Amino acid sequence: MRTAPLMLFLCAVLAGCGEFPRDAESTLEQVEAGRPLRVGWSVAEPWVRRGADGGPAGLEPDLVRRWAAARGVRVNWVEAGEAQIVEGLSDNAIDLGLAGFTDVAPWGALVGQTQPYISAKAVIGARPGVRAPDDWNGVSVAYDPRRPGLAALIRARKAVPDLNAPDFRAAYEPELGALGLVSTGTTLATERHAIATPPSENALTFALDRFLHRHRDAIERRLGQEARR
Amino acid sequence: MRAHEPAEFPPEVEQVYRKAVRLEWITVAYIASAATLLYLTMGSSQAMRTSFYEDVISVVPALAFLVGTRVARRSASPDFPYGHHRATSIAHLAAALALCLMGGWLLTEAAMSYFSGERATIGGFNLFGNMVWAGWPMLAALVYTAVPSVILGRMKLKLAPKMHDKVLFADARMMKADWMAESATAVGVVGTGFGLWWLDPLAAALVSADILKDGIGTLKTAVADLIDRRPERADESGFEQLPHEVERMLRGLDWVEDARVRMRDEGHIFIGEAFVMTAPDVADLPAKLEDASARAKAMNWRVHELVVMPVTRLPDA
Repeated sequence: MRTAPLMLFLCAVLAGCGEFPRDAESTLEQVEAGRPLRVGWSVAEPWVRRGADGGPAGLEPDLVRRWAAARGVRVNWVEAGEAQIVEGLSDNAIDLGLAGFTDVAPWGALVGQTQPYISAKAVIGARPGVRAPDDWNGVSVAYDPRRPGLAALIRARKAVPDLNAPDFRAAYEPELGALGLVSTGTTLATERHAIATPPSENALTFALDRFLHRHRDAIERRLGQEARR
Repeated sequence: MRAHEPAEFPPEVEQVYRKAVRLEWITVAYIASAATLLYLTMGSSQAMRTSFYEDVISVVPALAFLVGTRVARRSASPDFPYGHHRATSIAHLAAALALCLMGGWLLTEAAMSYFSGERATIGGFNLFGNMVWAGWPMLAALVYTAVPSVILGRMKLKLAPKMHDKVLFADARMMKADWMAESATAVGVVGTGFGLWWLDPLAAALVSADILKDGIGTLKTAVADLIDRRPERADESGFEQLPHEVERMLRGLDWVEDARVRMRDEGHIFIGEAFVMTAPDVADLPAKLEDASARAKAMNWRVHELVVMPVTRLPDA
């Protein structure tokens, strides 16, 4: 194990220099020096939505705006499809991707991503006073039509997705309070959401990770507010 | 006919065997724990992922040893008149294939990740509520998995020649493959941290080529043993001299004019034939032949069975 002392030495050296980890293409350095941060976005409710002005709004764009403001970084928004965003990140043509990415995205190491900033439970909520059935087979469950993914999750439970179902509604757990619902104890899925980065931009990813980690409670509250729209 | 034949090893080697079994159980337990740890810290780093699968493959020689040697120790039966010694050869083949698989697979992975444009990203990691650079826990996990491989590998290398066990030797090579791959991964992690993403596939490719070379060497020996080539030393450092020594002993007997011995490697022990040209009019030949066989077996515990056959002409070598 001749490598062990070498590694220890290397670690000590690394710990000594401030700029670590580093980006393969110096993205963080460049955007902090004034180049605008190119952020690709694609509507993925409730994480990314189109604001009243036609621009990006919602949880993920707000997070990037706050991070950029704290770092004194200008943002250029680029609306694109998810595939284009992935390709753009992979080619370092854009610097961040917002499209409701989760940690089970199929892109492998073609793109990087932050640690999950939220672990969001999609659950079935009920109107107060309504008893949840033991078996969801055939039960009508409402959902927000802007979130087609929820319909699939409802169907996976053998329940019936129905926009006008009166008693039950699929939503993310932090949203239940705002929707006036109580939990039925049924979890449909747990999604771990992340922001996509170009591959091997380690400094950029780490900087975002630290920011997201500091604000994880606020992020959960922010998801609750999405329901009030 | 040999149902009462004692097990594989003489008492002094039996002790070594017990030690080796303990070592292999420790190996299995430790690889299982290391694989779990790697699985939990595994990020998008190519090398981290391959390390995990590599751990899964690297348990094969240890299991092959435990199963193979256990079967090999079963005594002969009417259905298995030659005993079960060859189980060791099968275990050796399995271990050799695992080594080849490991080397070949790591090499393919490294090449594919490089050419498909994959680049590892190592950002943050939530360590007990603190956001730290994910490379640090990765390196810690790698050290944890690599250091015992070095120690276990060395211990196995010491035991393997004592019990002439090629499976144990192949497993020692697997331990070496293990820690070398971990070191390559560590180089990749540190390289990625410096923005040198290509160090990850490059280090992985170099190490996997070395593992593949070891695997092919082991595979050659395992296959040759199954084709009954003359016995090679467990560490592949040359051929065993035992058949020649037995031949020399037989030639030294006063009733033997010339002798030729051939032996095959049945794992730990050798089984073979001795053809002897006898002086004319030897009295009491059957007893002499039995005595010759007993003498050969007394020379070394590895001579498990030697059929001594009187002939008028020696077979070609």
